[in-house]
Amino acid sequence: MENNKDMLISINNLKKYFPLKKSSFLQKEKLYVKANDGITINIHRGETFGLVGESGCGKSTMGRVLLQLYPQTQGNTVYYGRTIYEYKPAYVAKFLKNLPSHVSKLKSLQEKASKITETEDVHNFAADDADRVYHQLAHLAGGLIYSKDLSKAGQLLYEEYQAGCKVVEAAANMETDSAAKAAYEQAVEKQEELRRQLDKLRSDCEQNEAFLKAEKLWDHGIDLGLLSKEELRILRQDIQIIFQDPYSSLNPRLTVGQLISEPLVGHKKFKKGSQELEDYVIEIMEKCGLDRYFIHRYPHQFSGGQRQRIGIARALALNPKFIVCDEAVSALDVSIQSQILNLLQDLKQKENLTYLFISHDLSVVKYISDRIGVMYLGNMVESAPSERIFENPLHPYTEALLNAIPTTDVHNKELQILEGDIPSPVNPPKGCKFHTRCKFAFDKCKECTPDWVEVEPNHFVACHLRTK
Amino acid sequence: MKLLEINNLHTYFETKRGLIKAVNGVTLSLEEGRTLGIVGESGSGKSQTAMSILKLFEKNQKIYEGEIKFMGKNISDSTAKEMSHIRGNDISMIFQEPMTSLNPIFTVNRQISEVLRLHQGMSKKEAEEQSIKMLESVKIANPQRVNKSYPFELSGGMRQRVMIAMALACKPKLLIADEPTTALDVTIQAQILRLMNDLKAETGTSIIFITHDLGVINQMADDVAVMYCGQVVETAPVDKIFQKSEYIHPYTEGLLTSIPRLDSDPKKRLDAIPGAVPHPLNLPKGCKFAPRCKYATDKCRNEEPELKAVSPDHNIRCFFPVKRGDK
Amino acid sequence: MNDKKKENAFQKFGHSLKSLFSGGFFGRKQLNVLEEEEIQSPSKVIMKNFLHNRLAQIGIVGFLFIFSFTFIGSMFYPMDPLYTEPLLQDIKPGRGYLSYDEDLNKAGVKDIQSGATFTIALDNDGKVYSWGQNLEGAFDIPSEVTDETIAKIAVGDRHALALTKNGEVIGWGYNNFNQDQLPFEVKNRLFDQKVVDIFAGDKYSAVLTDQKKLYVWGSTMTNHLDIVPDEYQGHIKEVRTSTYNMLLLLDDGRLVPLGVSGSPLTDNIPKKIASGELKVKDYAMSFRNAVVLDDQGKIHVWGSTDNGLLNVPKIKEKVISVAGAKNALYAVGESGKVYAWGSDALKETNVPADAKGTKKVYASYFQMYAVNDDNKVIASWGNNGYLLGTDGTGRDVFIRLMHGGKVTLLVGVIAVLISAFIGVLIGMVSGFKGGWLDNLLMRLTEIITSIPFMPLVITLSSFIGTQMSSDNKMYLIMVILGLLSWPPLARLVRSQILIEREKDFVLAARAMGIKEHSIVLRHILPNVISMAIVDMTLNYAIMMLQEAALSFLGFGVQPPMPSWGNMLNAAQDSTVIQYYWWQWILPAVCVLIAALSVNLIGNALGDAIDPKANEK
Repeated sequence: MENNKDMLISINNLKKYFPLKKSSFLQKEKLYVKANDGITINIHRGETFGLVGESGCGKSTMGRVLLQLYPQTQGNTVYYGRTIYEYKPAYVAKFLKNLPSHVSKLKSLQEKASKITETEDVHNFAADDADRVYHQLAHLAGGLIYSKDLSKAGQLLYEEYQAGCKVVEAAANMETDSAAKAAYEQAVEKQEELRRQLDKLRSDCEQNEAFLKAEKLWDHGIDLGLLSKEELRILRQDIQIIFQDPYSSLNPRLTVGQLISEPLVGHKKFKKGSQELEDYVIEIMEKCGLDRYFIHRYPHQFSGGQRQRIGIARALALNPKFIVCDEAVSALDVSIQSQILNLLQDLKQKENLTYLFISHDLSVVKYISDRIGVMYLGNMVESAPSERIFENPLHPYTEALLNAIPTTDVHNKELQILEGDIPSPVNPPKGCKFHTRCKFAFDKCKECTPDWVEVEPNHFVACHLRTK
Repeated sequence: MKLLEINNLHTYFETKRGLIKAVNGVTLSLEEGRTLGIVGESGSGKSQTAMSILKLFEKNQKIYEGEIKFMGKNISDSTAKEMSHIRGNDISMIFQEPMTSLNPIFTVNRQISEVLRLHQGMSKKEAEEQSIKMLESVKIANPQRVNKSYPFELSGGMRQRVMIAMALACKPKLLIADEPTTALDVTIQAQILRLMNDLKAETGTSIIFITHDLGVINQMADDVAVMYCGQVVETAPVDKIFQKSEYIHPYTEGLLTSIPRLDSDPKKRLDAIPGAVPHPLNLPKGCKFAPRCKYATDKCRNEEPELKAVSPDHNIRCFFPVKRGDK
Repeated sequence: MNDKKKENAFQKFGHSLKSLFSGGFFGRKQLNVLEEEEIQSPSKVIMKNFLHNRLAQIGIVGFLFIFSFTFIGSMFYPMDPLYTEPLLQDIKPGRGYLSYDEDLNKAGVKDIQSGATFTIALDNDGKVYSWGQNLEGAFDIPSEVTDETIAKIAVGDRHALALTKNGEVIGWGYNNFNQDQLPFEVKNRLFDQKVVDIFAGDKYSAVLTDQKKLYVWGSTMTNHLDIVPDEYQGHIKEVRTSTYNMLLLLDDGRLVPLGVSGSPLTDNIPKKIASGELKVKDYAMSFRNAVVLDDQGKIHVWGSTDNGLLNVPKIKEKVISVAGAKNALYAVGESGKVYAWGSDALKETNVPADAKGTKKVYASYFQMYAVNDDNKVIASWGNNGYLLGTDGTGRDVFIRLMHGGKVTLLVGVIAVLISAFIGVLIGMVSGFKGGWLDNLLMRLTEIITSIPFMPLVITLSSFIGTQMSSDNKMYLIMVILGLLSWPPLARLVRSQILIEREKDFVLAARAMGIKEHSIVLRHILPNVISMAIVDMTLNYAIMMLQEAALSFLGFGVQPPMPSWGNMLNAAQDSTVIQYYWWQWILPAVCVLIAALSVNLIGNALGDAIDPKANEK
């Protein structure tokens, strides 16, 4: 759990399939647009994770699914901005109290999955389900899912969870009331005691690889996919999004002031119409480079750049920890782009934000990101620290993408051409999805999906060339 | 020989709120066999300049002043009939969004053939053969099949190829490409840019290439015109813009330094141009760029500079062009 | 945000604005078109666009005109739906029935008699005057009459007679029963008699000879007035006429009726009067009533109870003369005051204040004139004419247009409200809930749309409607129209919700963690509702036209309750189309103006809320 401390978002095997309407009655199988097809990444606190890819690669969908704006088809999205002790989502108690039944459900799923051999035509949906449930449980119970006495383990974990909640409460009380220090210490003591008991229980388990792997997942992150609608709504103040189109993402009927104060009122941060609210809105506006007198104006009175500032101010108003910038500068004029990029950089430093920066423009992504993920047809093909991607692109697609960008360098005008069109995400090619356009493709690429491997520290790639 | 010369062109829109000076005194020239790149932000009048050449006007738009000489002949006051003969035959145009500029209910064949039969007087059969030949020339792998397809069956890159095939069907002397790759992905963009360069080398067609992307300009253009607020602020051969010249217009400089590039240092703050493009109904007095220019003086704010030569093939519309290396 | 703050914000706003425009940014000091738009909210922009639209202005003016004409106008001009006046059928538009000729006063009035729409007067010099509206040529006084000195005049509803000094009777005007010509048989009898007085009633005429004999001709088939009992002939002193009866004053003082018997007028004659016990000084007749003035200055009234003609006002003085119009009776007191009772439908009892010092009232049919001691006309009252004519039963088209318009507009409003309620509700449920409910509701709308509208409405209306009163039938029409016309609106609302729901700003609001119900209220509904309002406006015009069409076919609002549609019903008659244009052109024009105005308003509203139109 310690190694997860700097993690803010952890995504495991995220899938988003959009069902297509059947084109005829004769069509037997249901077709899907596989916008995200199994993405696993971690986003760390305070970093900017850049996501690049061509249109239709599913990068925007990923941003939205991550925020649970579209329900995820499969996979886990865990948020570490708050612990379960702080947030107390309802699912925790439900899972821990019924740990035995959940574990048996997991076992039956795993069994079912093992019976199906995955071929290119038969997708092993059961394996996905099993993986999802496994992660859900492992995040809550760790290696104890292999415990012999599951009901006891569940009971103890539940008590530990409640004790943890008390600790958080006591800590909050202490801030206002110094006399509460004793209570706090008592609560901590209780939690430690319970943890010792848990450790004992753990030591009873078989210390095999599976146990250790699950144990590693035991943390206190919030699984966004399991939250109720209302819990998710309240959590949204932590995770925000800036949209691509500054024209359509602002309701034309509301003034700037109303637009920015709406989420504040919605989350009961301020009273509607109060002086504090207005002061706060003006403060946020000024932070984002909007003059205070704009407060009574309507979006249609602004240029694209200013509208994008309004969008940023609105996202920022709730003091989020994490912001998805979905092509935030793509719709803007070149001279405005740089203003907004500067603003985003400044705000990130001032507010200690974490960005997921989605763009099709590699130069912009390179400029703003600490780490970059390259997506192709719903899959992540490469992910590495920003400079490594450019210095040492390991995936042929990344390389092709880099070479296709026209530069202002007069001496190096020759563009590398990547032949062919992007295949349809409804019927992606078998094996490595890129093999139809890849000049290095060999037989294996056409049959097996490459694994996601760490080739050098923090540098992941999914390519058979690198795993030979 | 000069293929196209535009002198002091003014194209205005009459709106309820006033006169929008979309093209406000543009002077350009294009040599035969060369590519002229026009760069500018939205609202700089680059597309309207192109529309003015073909007189593809909205109802409330017209040329107020200036002349457009195509092969030595002034076409700025041509009649609709004369223009329709020029359009597609001598000058063709391709647009940003290939889906909307192709008719969705006709096959590719029908659309290309129509141009050929209209301008070249070909028979149906000849036109079909020629159409397939054209598709071949734009490097479409299976031209027979594509020829029979409807636009919605094709991908974006394919459609843009079809558009180019259609535009080149009558072997025009001038091809105007208005942001032809903006809607495309980078890998497809690279394909299209390569194709256009190859075709140009083959046919010798002159090209006016309009884009907001300086990188694309570097790929495509021989000469560059930078536009701002309906005016050309700088014209020069492409290498002078990007590197060699002694002087540069502050706006061009801003464009070059403000955009993050692959080779720029990611840690450095971007040198952004402040402010926004002024509203077309509310153009500033004096130099149009003065309100956003860090070098602006009172003179800039009150007097309008002329396009002046700083070297034989390099013109700048600025009182105080920036000296490279000064910054 | 409180007021003080607002002011501050405004001041700041002003300052910033000033600095913005006076600084180098936009050039110096010039105020421009953009500035005025700076603080405008989208709804204000919509309002401005709407009000600045020329067509919208025309529409608003048109609708306000129609609205005030019908709703405000009908408050000032009440209507009795059951009122009819056969004598005033199909009267052409025109006024000034009471504008008497001032020259008449020079020589002094000898007699004034009115027809249905016109008045003919005789002065003491024997000169004949006429005014009002020409009806069937009753106005075209022959040159013989104008040239001669006239002793007496008699005016029927549509014809007139004149008696010259030489005892010659000249008639003119409507002659469907030859009432304008002395018939041959009467002429024969007159070879040894001299005509001393002439009379005219509804399409009949009569002469009284020096031998006190009465001869009646013209339309006498139903009233049998031509049968004058022999016992009366030779004793007739005075005659008063009405539609079905005459009252004769015999030289023995008896007052006897003539014509159709069995009515309260003929049967209820007070015995004292019938026997001649009471001395009759003056008497007068209305349609079915009579008033007698005795030598004591007292009046006696009998006849039918219609129009309150038996409710004589209290008269505390001696009466010096009496007079009778068609539906009202008059008495003149010693003081010169005029007492009037009876119907006021045509302002017959609405005696003007300047009728003081009256000596005699000349009353016949619907126009009344008061004459003073100097034989000068001092006042006139009664029916002054019809601005827009009358219909086939003598009802004022102007008033019926007002009240009919009210009905038509109201039917439209209620029907639109019903259809809007159902449409918006179903559209919203469909749009928000989705799933099987959406499927079900949309199939329902399809079923409703595929019902042939007119046939169903006609069937419903004639099946259910037959047992209903005219009022209830009107409500029935509203409900039927409302219940059948909601599908397009429901579909519009549903699709608009689906469009709005997918908008980026709704997704943005969701991403902000805004509650679902406030997303619906603040972000989705406003646009949906404004579209619905536009649709309702346009629907309103359609509803009015539907009502008109139904009523025109006779299945809508039932007469006597007027509506523009059933007024148009008259146009099913080719004579009406040919001769009585005001009866069908006017309602048609009203429907046209109303529907056009509403359509213009609706279209302009639609343009105004269309953001694309705003950008231009």
